[in-house]
Amino acid sequence: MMKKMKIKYFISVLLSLVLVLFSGCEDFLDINDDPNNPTDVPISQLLSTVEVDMAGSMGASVGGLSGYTSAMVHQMFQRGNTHQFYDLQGTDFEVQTPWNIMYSRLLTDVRQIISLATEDEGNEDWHYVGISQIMKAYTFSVLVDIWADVPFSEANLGSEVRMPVYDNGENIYPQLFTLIDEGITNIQKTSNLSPGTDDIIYQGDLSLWIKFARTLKLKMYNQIRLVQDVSTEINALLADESQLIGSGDDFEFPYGASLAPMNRNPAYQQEYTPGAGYYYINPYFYEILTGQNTFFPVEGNPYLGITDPRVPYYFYNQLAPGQAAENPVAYRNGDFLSIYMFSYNIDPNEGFDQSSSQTIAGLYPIGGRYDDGNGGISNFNGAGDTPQRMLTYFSRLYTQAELALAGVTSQNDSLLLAQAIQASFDKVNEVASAAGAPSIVQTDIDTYISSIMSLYASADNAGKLQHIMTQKWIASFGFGIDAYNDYRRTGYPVLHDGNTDNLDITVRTRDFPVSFPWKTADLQVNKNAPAQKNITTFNVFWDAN
Amino acid sequence: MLYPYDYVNSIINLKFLYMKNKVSILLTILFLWGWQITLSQERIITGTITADDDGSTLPGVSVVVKGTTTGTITNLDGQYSINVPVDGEILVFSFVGMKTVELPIESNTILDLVMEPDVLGLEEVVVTAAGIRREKKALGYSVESVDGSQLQQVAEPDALRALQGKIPGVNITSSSGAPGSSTRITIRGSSSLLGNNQPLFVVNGIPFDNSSNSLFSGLGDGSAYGSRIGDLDPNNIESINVLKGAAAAALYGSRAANGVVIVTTKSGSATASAKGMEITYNGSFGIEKIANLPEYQNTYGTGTNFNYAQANGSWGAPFIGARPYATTDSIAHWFDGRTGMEDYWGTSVPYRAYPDNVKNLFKTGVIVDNSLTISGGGENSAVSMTVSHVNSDGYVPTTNYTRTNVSVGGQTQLANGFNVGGSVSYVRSGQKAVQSGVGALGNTNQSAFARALYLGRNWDVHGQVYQNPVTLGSEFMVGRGQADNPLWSYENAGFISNTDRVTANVDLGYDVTDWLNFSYKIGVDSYNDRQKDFIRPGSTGAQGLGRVTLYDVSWEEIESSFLITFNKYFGDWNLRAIAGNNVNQRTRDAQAIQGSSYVVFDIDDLDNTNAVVPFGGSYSQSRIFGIFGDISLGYKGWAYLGLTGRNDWSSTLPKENRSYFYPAVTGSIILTDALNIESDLLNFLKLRAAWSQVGNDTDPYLIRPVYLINNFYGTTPRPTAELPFTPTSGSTSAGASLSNQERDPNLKPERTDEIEFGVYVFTLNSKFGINFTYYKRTAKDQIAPVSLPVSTGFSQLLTNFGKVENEGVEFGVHITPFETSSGFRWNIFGTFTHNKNLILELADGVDEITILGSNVAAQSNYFAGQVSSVLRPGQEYGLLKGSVDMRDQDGNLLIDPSNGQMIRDPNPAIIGNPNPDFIVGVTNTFSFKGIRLSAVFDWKEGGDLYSNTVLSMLGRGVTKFNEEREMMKIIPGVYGDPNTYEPLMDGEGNKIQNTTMVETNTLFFGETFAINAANEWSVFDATVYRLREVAIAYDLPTSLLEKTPFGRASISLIGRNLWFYAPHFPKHTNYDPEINQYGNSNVQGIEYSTTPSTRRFTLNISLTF
Repeated sequence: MMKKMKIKYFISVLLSLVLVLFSGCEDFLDINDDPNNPTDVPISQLLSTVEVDMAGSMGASVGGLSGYTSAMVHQMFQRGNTHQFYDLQGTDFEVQTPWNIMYSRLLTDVRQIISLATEDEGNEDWHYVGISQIMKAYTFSVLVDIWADVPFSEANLGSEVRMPVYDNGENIYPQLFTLIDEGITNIQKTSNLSPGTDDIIYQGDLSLWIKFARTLKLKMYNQIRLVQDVSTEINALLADESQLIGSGDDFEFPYGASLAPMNRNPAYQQEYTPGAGYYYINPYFYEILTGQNTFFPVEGNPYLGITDPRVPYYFYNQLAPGQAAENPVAYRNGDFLSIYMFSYNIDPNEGFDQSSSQTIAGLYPIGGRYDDGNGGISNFNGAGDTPQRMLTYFSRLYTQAELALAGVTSQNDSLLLAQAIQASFDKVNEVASAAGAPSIVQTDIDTYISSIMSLYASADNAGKLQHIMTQKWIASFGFGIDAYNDYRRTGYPVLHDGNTDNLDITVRTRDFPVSFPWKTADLQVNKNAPAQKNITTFNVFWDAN
Repeated sequence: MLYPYDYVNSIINLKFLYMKNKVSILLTILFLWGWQITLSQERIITGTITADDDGSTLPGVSVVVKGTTTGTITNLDGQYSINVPVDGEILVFSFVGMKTVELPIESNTILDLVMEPDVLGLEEVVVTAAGIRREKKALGYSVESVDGSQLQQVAEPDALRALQGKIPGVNITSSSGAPGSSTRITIRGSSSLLGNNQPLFVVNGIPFDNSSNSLFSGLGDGSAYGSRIGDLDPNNIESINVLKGAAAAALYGSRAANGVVIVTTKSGSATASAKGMEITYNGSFGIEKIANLPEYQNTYGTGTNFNYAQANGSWGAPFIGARPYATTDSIAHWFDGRTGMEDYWGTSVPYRAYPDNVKNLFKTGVIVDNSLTISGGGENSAVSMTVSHVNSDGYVPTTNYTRTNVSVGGQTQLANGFNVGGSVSYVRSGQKAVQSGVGALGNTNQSAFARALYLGRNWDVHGQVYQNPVTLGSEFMVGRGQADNPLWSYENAGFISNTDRVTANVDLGYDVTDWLNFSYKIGVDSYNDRQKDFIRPGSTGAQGLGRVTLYDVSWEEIESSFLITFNKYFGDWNLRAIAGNNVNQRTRDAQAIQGSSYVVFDIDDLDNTNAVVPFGGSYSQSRIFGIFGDISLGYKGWAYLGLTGRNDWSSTLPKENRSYFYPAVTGSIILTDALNIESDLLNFLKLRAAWSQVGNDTDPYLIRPVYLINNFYGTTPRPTAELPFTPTSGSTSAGASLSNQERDPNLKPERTDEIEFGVYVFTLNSKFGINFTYYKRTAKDQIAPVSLPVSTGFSQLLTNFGKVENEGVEFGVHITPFETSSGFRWNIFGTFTHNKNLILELADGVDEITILGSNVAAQSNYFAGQVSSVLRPGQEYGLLKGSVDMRDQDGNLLIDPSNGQMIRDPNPAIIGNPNPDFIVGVTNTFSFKGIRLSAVFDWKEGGDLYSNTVLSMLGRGVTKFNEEREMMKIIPGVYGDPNTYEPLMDGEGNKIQNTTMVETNTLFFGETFAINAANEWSVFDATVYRLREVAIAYDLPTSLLEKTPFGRASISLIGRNLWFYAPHFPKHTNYDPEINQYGNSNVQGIEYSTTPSTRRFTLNISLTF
């Protein structure tokens, strides 16, 4: 009897326990919100990330576009790598990384800013919208310039369009101009929120964003001038030059000093890790800057005998005067040590580790060390915070010089070139002074400018174009994208050719890549994507050559 | 009630309980003791039971009067005494591992019995889903059981590795030879596209987490991470049951689709019996060495083209005496010109070979393992306690693994009819490993294995200092930008993990009647894993500044289950029905923090760094509520039908899709019993079939997109600044970025369907038996990320998609080729596993998906990113994809006429399939009067491995493989145009055969076959034959032990991994392919530079008293 009672009691307790558990089930299971990651953030945080990503994806580390583009225009390159002879692959880290950053982060976050900033009708954050539109336009212009045809009309729509088509660059560019204009209009509207220090590039100065937007248009019109009459648009932009980027208005991303989190220039971080020098300086670039031609035809160097005062700001020799290199040497010129482009798998000395002996990029391009001539292994012993330049005052002046020479404008090409060279030197001095390095004295600058200008004066039109583009190429060091664009558009500067030099350890087996290969993995998951291109023939629409 | 055996159930004839209380609850159950007083008075039958093989008496044998609930158990001396009711006619004797015997009582008062081992294992009782014990013969699906003693004999600290080669249908792969490193186990192939493919582990009824908690990928940075199943002490294992099919697992639900490994520990299995007190000591001492090194060449030193240089590759000048023309007899000291090493400036060293420079990097590892198990009990109560400690010093200096385990458990039958049990276990595991990732640009060459296996042949690593006296940084034969000196790396970079883990469970049962039972069980598995990854300053890694990263992971899983069991005979029919409820909660909390730039050289602590930043972390919690039912109908002990069903509600799915039901049906028939066949030709024949479905949920928080705070593009090297960002002049900005994983708000549960057929047959007087299983498993609607083109703005979309089929056969073969009456016996147990995996479909329009782990590697690491693991419709799981060289339409390699080397195809291709074709394991056991000799041989056929280690051995020219090198070679192929990738034609339109010679050096360095070459040339068929284990054991005869305190004593000598042969790897590399860079992840078949496998000898002593 007792036992039966107990059993009943036991059963009913257990059954009610089950029922209680079951009825509480719905609440019990409603725990699927991530407590650590938000579903909503302020747009200011997105803007900061967009600017960091823009500088990185276009920057000079191996993961930024300036890395490979600088290699293509013979400024710097890596040992043991097939890109030495123009062999670029859609699986290369250098190709995938900027593509990934731009599409999966930069443009997505831009889209989020625009959508968040306009979701409260009548209370929109127009300034954020405008800035975002301008950066979106700039990013797409770079994507077109590098890859020719890219997803645009169907890009960044998430799972709505899982396989975006690749639009022809020719159809994209006009929409970018519209986008920039919309951006300018939106910046001029009344805005609920306005950027401040979250705008790392311009610190919320909207007038600078408008100057950048207009200068970007100038650059882009110049870019397409061979395939389209752009004189009306260009002359309209030049009607008020105060509305363009002037001295001190450069569109550049300032880096910081912090090691953790790593806020330094990524290329500096890469090159100045102790003894881990990675990019070699192309001896061809070095010899043009030092007025030599030890291994290439004389016509390669338009500045034979002219030494550029910027050399110690551009390159840093780790070797002390006369110091022996760690391994057999491929190219040594004083304490400048490098290897030849086009010598991969041919010159045994190309493959040796010289990371503690090789010359590496210096202060001006990546925030490295000013070369005081005493050598010393790289060891985080540079500035580290030199900004990543993207669109500068000097590049605007070179563009104007080119336009004047081409007859698109009636401005004085010679004067503009001299101003452009002066502005490039000023930029070097600005970087030097920020890093506490000595400045280039004006008399040296004047000497240099006058020797260039006298060569310019005596040159024919092709020669003049060569001087403008070569000077722009020199000035661009640290930002390779424009130089790569300019070379494909104008054919200048003349580049080193492993097959026509006087070296038997250099062979160029491939032709110049007129655009980059698409990221292979994206082609494979996108049925609407084209087949991988032949990079020696698939050119960008503005490339009339 | 602790799930007693069917026949033990009937013995519950409780009369008296004596209980002695002690300080705590745990100690209370430790000293429970009981005996039986009989009250009936009809007839008393007594007797002694002995074992057939060694004549020893058998305690704990169940003796039941047939057709009644009256029974008893033999005492320590194998004696029993039973009151038989007047109508009792037959006594049934049963004992685990022995054949059940029925003896007619007739007019006897003494019934002695010699019991024979049950070779067929049919009487075996196995633990199945939800801890339900079932006779193996009644099961409609395949279950394998391994006795704990088999594991203890092997003296392998990793319980999973001890199972290698012993279970058909199971593939077990160790990740490396580092102590405490992870082991991967898959059952019947991989069905999950990108999620977990390892089985669910259940220890004493409570799920046991087997995560591999690692912060770094194991590639760029990284080490030989462990997996948490390593916390399981083999010494404490009573038995392991592997439920291979989905049918067996239906009741475990969600995570059981990949099979279940059910572990019962000694402390968790204390079962009431008349055993008395028993103390078992098990001790082993083992030594281990690196399993194999390549045969090195000692003719050429570093350099190129037969000239010396301070390079990595040994392609330089020959040593004096090695070649007649050799002239280089000394070289500039490697440290010439280095700051802080001024003593060496201008000095030179002899140029000669150091044949043992690699061998001397390693030492002899020592493993000491001690364990003590105390168990005791009476009919109504039992307790068991295990204390153990293992210390393993690896063959790589400074590597170590320790594990300390204290477990206690017990069970008692209370006078009021309740049955109470419980167990608790505490484990502390500690691991110290060296850095073993592969080098990447700029900040990770700190791996101790970056160069270790292919040292320059003239590198006097041991004769030179390895530490800079000024900076204390690494000094190596190659420059700072290359790699750390392994000797420096051992001491000054590494990975430390310390885990404290507690598992506990209690259960309560009540027998309402002898056919109705209630039981409730609740348990927890919780651990805290604290990891530290450190690189001291002066390494090539961590920018040379020093870096310490802490990672703290907490895990807690709570599981509660309530079962109502009905079990009743209706004439010839037996109906067994179970209804149950199951509630599960899992919580994981992890946080990492990194300090950079050391202050003092050798203090690996955050406080010793100049900058500390958060380094990622996560929190997740998920819950499942399930109800289930299981009905099993048996007829006359030879036909069985089973039906199960379960409904789960999961917190991780969208509300409208969170409930899902899944059923299973199983059936089996023992034809020999059904048809009353008793023949030497056919001793036993059983057929079984099963159909089942398993539903699965997913990880928490995956149904809506989130922003990531201060998230930066995390490749190596970093292309962008990290966040938060502070410009030199300006204020700090935090950043946020939308996660690049697009989410599907309408996720639904995953589904796995499986059918299984089996035949179990014994023939030739039970000397030959085969257990054969065929299965086909289809998994669909999987929740996994689909790779998106990043132009969508996202790199992946997490959604339901795909269909994967695994079809396979398993054989277990028992052969007794030879047996004598004098006691000599030769047994062979063979396993054969063949699984064919097929990806039937992926998402709409998706032709390929990259497996996540390798995807990160492929895109995030400059050097390592070339080979990835992909899924393609119509293909097998996880194919290797990488770069290949260009071929023309006829398959001729295209050769670049400018250099005689190949031309890289711009499109990567499939270069290998890591899935083995089949796995064979053969265990031969010879036993004779207490001596047992056993040998496990296994053979894994097929399965490709991309090996960067072999690539480097060849490319660095260090082995005898390319010692003969003073010749030119021509790569067979035709000339091609590197711009157009078309073959070049001669004047008559014919292809031109390559005639450009290349040096041997170039064959292994360039667009050729090793370094800088296309990935395809470093993929090898990983077929391997292996003598996995040889053990000789001797049980001291009982007669010898009579005057000692020991009841049993045995001594054994075990050799592990004594020999292997991988025929498809380059000669002289002696490479053991059984290692994997990605540990226990889904990415298999890729190896960059892992710790090679080991060879081990162990002496093991086991004493019982």
